[in-house]
Amino acid sequence: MKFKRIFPRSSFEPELASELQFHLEQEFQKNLASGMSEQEAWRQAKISFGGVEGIKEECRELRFGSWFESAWRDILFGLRLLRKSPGFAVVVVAILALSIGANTAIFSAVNAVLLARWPFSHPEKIVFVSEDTHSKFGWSLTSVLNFEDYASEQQTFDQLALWIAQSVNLTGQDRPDRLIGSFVTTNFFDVFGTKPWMGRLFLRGEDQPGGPYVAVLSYAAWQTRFGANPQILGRQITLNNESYSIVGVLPRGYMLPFESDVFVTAQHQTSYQRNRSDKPFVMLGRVKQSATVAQAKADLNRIAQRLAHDYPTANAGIGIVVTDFRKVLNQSMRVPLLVLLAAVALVLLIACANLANLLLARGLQRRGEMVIRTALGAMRQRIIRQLMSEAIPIALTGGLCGLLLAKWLLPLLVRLAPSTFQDIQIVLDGRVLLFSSLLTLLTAVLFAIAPAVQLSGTKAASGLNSGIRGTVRTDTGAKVRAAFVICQVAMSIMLLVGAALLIRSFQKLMASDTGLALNNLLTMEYRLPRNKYTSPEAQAAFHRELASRVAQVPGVVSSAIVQAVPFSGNWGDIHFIPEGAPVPEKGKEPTAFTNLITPEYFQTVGIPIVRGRAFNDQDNDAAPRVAVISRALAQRYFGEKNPVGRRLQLIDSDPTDQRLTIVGVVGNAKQISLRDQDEAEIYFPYEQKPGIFGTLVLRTAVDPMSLANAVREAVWALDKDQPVWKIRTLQYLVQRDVEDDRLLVVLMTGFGLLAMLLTALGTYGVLSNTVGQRRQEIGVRIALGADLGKVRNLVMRQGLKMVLAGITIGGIAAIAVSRVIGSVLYGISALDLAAYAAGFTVMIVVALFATYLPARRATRVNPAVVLRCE
Amino acid sequence: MGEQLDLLQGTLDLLILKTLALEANHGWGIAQRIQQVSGDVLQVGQGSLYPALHRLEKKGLISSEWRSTESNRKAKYYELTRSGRSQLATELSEWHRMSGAIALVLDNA
Repeated sequence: MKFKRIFPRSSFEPELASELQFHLEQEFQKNLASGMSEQEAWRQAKISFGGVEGIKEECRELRFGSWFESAWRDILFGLRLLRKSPGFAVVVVAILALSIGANTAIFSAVNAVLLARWPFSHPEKIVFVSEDTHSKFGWSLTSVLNFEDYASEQQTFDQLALWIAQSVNLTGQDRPDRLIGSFVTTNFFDVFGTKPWMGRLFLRGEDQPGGPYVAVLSYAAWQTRFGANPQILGRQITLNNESYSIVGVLPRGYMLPFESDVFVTAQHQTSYQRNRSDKPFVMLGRVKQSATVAQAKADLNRIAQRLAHDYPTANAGIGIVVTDFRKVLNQSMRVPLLVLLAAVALVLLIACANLANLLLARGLQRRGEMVIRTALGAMRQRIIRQLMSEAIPIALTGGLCGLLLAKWLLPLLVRLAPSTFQDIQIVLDGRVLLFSSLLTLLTAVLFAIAPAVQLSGTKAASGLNSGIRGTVRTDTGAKVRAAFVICQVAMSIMLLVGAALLIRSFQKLMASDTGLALNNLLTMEYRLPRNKYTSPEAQAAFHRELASRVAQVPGVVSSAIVQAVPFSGNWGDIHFIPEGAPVPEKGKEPTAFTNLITPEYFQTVGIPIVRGRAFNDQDNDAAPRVAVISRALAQRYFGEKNPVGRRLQLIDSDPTDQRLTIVGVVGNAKQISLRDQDEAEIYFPYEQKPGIFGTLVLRTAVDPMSLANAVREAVWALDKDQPVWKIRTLQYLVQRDVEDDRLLVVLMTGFGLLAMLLTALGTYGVLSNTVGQRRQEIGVRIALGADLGKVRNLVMRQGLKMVLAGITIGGIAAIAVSRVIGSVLYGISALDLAAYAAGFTVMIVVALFATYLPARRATRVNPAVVLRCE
Repeated sequence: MGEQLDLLQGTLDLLILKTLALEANHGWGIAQRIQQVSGDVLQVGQGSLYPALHRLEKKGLISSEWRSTESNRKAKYYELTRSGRSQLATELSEWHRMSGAIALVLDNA
């Protein structure tokens, strides 16, 4: 094919016409010359010529047999047609743009989080190991000696390593600061196969007691905290008051398991002890290529049984659980994200159904045209190709708009997302774009050419009889289109009910009682370097002194220190035995949250004292060991009896304070999140237990954040090298806790409404079409005196039948999948009647609207006009 | 009028090429010539002629040009291209070979 013929000459048509005309004239001349009359000559010429159009068509076909050329012509023709019905084009483009754009944006965001591709080979071999078979999180803390036994006796792992993250104080810069530190064994990076970007990682043996003070920085920390200094290797930094030498920097984008600024060897961790009962680390590892995860679990379990046998006090009841590390890290969001994904898929389906309906209806309108063209000799393939080329410009425009919408929407979504996701690179996912585009475009094209395909059975003549004037009597497509509407309604119901359930759940969540008085509470965290505050007394003295100094700051009503403030994500727990209770099986002792506090804590945060007393200045290190328990604990383990004066036995490593006397009972307070069920908590005074971690909590008379600087100055007045961080209000912490839930609710509601809108449009479209087609019938009815109301009801009934069928199917489907969403709900069951009722009601109201409008149009049909057209 | 014979596509192409080998001509002229030379046996219908012409042009075996006729009408003239000429030579020898073979069969069968 020569190049110049890629774009057809616009002169082709007239030329072809001239050429054939010339031939005709020549034939005419020849006939004249042979003695026919003019009239006869023309007639004979024309007869012998045959069907001009057919010849033209064939020539066109040959000439522009190349797909590109004919497609181009068809596209131009299609564009001209579209200009005549802009409304249709706009609606189609809108549906395409929405489904492609919105879907891609949301899916990209979801994809980045849930299906995040981890940059290691065989991520499924990397697992967290938990010794606690009841652990909710897939990991538990283990002891160093246990770990060493596992590591030396195991046969199924390439690497077993330890890790724990903790805040570390960075001093020696202009201001004291805090870094997130990870304490690891030297083979930690081998689990992930990480190589250093600069310098080196840890060497064997560096994690033993007495080992060197070396540190590895993350790329981000190196950039932001140390100014991307190229001479960083060998520099000393002061962490927790000890001097470390920087030996390496990690590659960019490395953020495992949680973003850490600096990595340090395990023995420097403050809780590092070489015994069995102290459990400061999390164990993880990479399973051998040749072993399965199940084999690895069995292998470790074997060792665990031996450890339980040999060291019953520390290791009683341990059992191994091995969890894919991706699952652990994605834990909290997994179900909601899957639900979201399902919603996205449903919306896509609804959009496709809508498109299909619209195009089928339009195809029906053009049935007459199709029939005529077939009668004039157009081949079916040709018609299909032409229809396809009409559909493609719309489809492409829709796709383009979708892409633009996605680009615009994604940053918006990222800003709305919970803060935990801000760190992950979220970009438009090409696969998703491709998928959405392909799906919708395919639908568009398929249904655009459907009428031509349908036409295959129609004989031209009968088609001409019934088809040309556009009043098709038999509408075989009607059932298909009705089915589409029913499906759309069903899917919308599922989304609406889902949204309603989530909204109700969220309401209940927000209404739940935290147990604290949340207003005007400011918090900030800190940790004391152990080598500066070596004894528990020194530590407690600091906390006490700080609390009283802060109380002097103008605007502060009261202040206290607590080890783990509620909703901060910090918590401690412990096994214990209440006095008088039967000795439970080893490893099955009850647990409770623990917290260290200064005496003013309960008063500061607003936890009521139910029985007995709070701590006071007499509860110091020399005094008998005391504890305060929460009401939940009291009720569960002491029933109606007064627990004050009774004792608790702690299953703890420190033998000196094993038995405590309960001096008070306080109201319940949620510790981790609003969803906490079990609020058993034991409080100890700082004086009686070592604690380097503290959170300053203060109630203010004015806006809490306005006092942040003043309070920080008070801290630095006490110790100028002591950093404080995470300065936020308790209100903020609680809001943050429900961020994920709120986002889910918002998104689900958005989807539900979107689906409902699309469905309403679809229903309206189908019914309008029906009215349009049945205009004759309606006209006749009206002319024969039918009541307008009856006519309207006729149309509405048809519409409502579809909607009700859809609601029924959707309702059943929703019930069937309700278990999936059940785990996310708080305070209501997945079969909550109110939610279902709400969903149904909304759908019916909208449906009524969608059916009423075309019904009203039906009543406006003027019988005279309609009948005259016949 | 002679009978309208259904000419095989390939045969029609060959006839057209041969006709144009002598001189350039327009569609009407080609049809008339074929009819003349065959003694009215072969009458090419326009339904086959023009598609064939366009097809040949697309294949690059003939080229077209608008010229004026003797009576000053504008008509589309076709003429053989170089590849058309060589194609014609190939086809002719093939035709001779085929018809020779068929004749042998018919004579001897």
